[in-house]
Amino acid sequence: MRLFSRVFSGVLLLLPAVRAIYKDEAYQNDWHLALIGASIPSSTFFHRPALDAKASLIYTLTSRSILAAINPRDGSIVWRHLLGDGTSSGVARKAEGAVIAAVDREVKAFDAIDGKLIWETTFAGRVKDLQVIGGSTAIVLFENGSVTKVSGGKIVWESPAIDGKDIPQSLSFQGNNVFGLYQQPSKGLRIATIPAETGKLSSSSISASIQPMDKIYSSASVVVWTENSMSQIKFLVLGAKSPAISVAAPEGVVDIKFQASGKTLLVHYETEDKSWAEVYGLDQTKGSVNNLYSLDANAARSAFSVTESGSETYITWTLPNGESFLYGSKSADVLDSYTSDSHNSGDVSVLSAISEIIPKPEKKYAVRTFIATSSPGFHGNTYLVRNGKAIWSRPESLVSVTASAWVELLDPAAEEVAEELDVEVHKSVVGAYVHRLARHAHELVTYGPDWLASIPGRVMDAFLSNEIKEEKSGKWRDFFGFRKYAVVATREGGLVALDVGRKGAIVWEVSLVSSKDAGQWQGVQQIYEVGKGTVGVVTYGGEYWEVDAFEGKVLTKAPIGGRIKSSTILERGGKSKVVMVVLEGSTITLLPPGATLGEPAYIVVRGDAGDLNGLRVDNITLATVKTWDFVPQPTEEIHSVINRPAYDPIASIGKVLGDRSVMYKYINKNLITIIATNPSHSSATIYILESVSGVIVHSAVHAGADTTKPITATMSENWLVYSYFGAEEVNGEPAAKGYHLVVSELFESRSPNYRGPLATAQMYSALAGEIGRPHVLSHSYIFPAEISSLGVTTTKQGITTREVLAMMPWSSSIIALPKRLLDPRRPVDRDPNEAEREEGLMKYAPVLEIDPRSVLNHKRELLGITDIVTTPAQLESTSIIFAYGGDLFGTRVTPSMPFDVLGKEFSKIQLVGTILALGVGVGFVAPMVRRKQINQRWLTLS
Amino acid sequence: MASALDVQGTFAPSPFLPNPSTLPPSTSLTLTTTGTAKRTLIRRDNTFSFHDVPEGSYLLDVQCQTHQFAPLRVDVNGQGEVVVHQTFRGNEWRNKGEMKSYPIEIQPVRPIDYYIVREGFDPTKLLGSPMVLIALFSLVMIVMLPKLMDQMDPEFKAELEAQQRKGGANPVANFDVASFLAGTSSPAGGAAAGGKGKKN
Repeated sequence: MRLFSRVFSGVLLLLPAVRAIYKDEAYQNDWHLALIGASIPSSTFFHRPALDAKASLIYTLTSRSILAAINPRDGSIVWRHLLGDGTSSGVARKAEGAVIAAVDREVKAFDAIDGKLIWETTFAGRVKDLQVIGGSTAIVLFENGSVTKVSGGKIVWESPAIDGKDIPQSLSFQGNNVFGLYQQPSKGLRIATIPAETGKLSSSSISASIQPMDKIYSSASVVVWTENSMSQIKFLVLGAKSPAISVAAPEGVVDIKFQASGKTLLVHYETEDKSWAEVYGLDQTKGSVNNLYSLDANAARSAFSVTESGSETYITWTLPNGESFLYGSKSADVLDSYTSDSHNSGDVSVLSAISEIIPKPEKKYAVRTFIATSSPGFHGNTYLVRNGKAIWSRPESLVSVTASAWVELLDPAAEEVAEELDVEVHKSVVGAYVHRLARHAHELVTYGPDWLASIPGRVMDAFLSNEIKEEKSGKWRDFFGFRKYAVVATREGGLVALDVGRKGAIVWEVSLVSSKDAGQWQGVQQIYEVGKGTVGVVTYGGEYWEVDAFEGKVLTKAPIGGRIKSSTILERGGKSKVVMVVLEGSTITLLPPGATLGEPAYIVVRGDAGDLNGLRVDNITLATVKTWDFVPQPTEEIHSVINRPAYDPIASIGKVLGDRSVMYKYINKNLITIIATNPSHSSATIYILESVSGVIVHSAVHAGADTTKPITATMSENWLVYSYFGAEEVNGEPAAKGYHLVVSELFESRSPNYRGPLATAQMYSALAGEIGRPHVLSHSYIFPAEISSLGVTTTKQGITTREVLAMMPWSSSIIALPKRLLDPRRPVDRDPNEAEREEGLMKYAPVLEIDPRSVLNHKRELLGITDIVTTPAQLESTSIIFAYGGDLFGTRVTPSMPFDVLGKEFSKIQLVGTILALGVGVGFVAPMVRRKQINQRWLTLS
Repeated sequence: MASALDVQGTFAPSPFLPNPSTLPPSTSLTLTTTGTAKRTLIRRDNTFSFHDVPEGSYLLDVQCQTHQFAPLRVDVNGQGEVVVHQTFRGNEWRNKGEMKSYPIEIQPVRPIDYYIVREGFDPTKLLGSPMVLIALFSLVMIVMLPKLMDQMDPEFKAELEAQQRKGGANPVANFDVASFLAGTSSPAGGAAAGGKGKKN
């Protein structure tokens, strides 16, 4: 036995130390949706990356502060950069061979071709507007009203605001002058004129009665604003000495937008159900504005774009249904119109549309329009239309996924028969008999000559492609269970099912909000798989939706009766699952309505005073009784609470050591981890708490932990992993500066083969405090990168070793760390002895290096991931991973190698070839052997 | 008032990276210490600059898709100086490593390879394995030995054959366990005579 184990451990050591990505599996098993978010209309444009470039790219700055270059040919992202924390807005402008973007307090210029940074400047104030005045020189308007000229990253001049009370609006550049537009609190507009060379400011102001909902717009040649809550529109041509021109706005207008390019100004009116535009021409010398033409009203929530191409100015009008019209700048004649082949559902509004127009001979035009849309629940989806044909689309609304749930697909072998049998049960005897006969007849057809004839083809496929063609689709799972649906909710209230096994394909989309109540939408609290193929969605606003997870049909929608604080799902034996919802005021409701609680439940909720409460929920009255109260230290606040994954099977209750003794794991599914931070003293305290009794079983204080950087944790089995940034000095003692990754593992007792005081107990109750005290082993490692979120792999039986998945935001990647590497039993300051070696323990090394082969996303760059969720496949070796929050990423991993499936390295052709070669060899040798045997007999006899 | 200055440097050509312009545009650098974290991107001219870095002791890391870089310790002191040291992760912060020049010159430690290439079927490798070598050797011996015997001196050969005939029948090989246990034959002589006969 011992010999065997020694040989076996030797074999284990021969295996590669890390599970890595094979070159031929990269991009096959994993998928990635690189998302950027909703484009900011004024910061989205077509632009030639270089003066001599043949084709232009789409550049856009989004509300997630991502500046991206999109290839208009196929919608792929050429480059992108995250410029802020994803919450601040900004501006992006085209420059010669560059794009200059300002987000928050930073202005950055990027090479338009490859996205390399050219220069960056950080200012004291936040940027309001920015204009490029040639080359890579920019004028920047700040929120404090001052104006600065920046050239090549260097400040040329600064011009302070005339009046600190003015609210800066926008910046225009014409000729050699910069015009700063300010709204004066005393009902006026101030236009500051600054020569771009000198920065010497002069200003003039005009009175204007601008209300909060009024709009102010300025372009290079004109300032337009509305007065008295959009009842009047005023034009002022910049650079001319004439007074403002006033035009009355139509009745019933809810929104007015302006767009200008060169000498053309477009005023876009929106009413509740209609939209149209008036086109004006500007006369620079006279300072006059004359109406060129007006367009007839059409569907509401459309978008216009004014595009210059050569010497002409074109106007494109895109309707929500995808229809678009092209006009010239002279008359309302339609130059070209494009009907759409896409059938958008009714509630779509066009957020923005930008066009690129190339006139062709014979009055033909090549028009490409990049359109950003918004519909209830889905904000910012984009697509490109070329001459009326949708070429590609990008599901940018999925950038704001906030919650997700896994949905198991159905087993075709079991379910199909079960369905049929179910039908037979509900029929009369004769009916059932007929049904069965019909079923068998049908099977005869299904598995008839056609099926037989297809066998050779299938076998050949299996040989040649090395890949089993998935026969099952839709709601039927594949043989290995690699396909699963992830139902995700966007922040805006959209519900989407993604097929994680099929490169994240969108299966269905449902909106949980309508355009009427979009304003009251508060977000999805959680999604649960409440039954086979059914998901339950709990919203913060107090609604419960049940949706068919395979088809996307809304089954039920019910009000819960109040704002939701938290919710959980309880398994109540068999198939039934109950969602328990805690409303504000700690009242409890069970979902679906009418569900009952079999036995009292114990839950943990956050208290209103920054504490954590344990509640006992009565099974009949649903009344709650507070069982315990966790109050952190007076200077501390609860940072986060982590519990074990809902599905976390443990294959073995102990850990077998090298000498065949067993360390028993301290397993308690009610353990939660509380991270409490103390910002004033820069420390973090980790508590492991038994959530039924409220007993703290373990705590650790980390002085010098930086509370401004992410502190994340994950739990599984009997262990906890967390990370924080540690300072160089802790309580006067020197320490290692950097990110720390700490692992704590809970055992029943210090000594092997001893299970502690509860070993002999038949049963014990956490309510009586009989939970024992775990023996906790911890190791701390230095990790080279910041970790923004942690996850852990799950497999069907829990036999496969686990891997800790860590999102490293700065290198935009997810790394898989084998649990074996983080083992707190790794011997410190000595080489492992023979027994430890047999266990696979290595000598403790304080630093964990990032092995690029464990980076799951390999060459892909993941931005904005906030959560990593995992689910088991049908194969024990495999865990399916899905990451969301910004980009979407999915893959599958085999932490202990794919031991239960033949990999791609198994060549069937080679196997058959070997057998054939052996057969041929035997064919040759057999006669020889036979002759020899015969000869032997005869010769010995003679 | 705490002084703040810019920390600058370049990506220098090195054997692993002859042309730093090939680094991806997402290559970023971070300057971290307790309470702050600054991040910047590599510039088109392969330089980088952190703007307005307050006085303090920082850890400089480079995140890159194609190459790995060693961490550096950057100290910005009150006199407006920037001092750069090589550092090692897990090092006590007061132990400074080798001092580096300023402006910082950054060179990669090694290129990153994310993938392992699957080992396919390789006949030369197969022939190199000891098992196959042993098999081949014995095969060769089976074929060659009789030929060797033929080429031997006839007298010596006859002698060898005679020897084989005399004691050649290995007493152990023909040892009849059943009869030995039954006590029907003497262990030495009986076996040689009885072995075959009994079986047939």
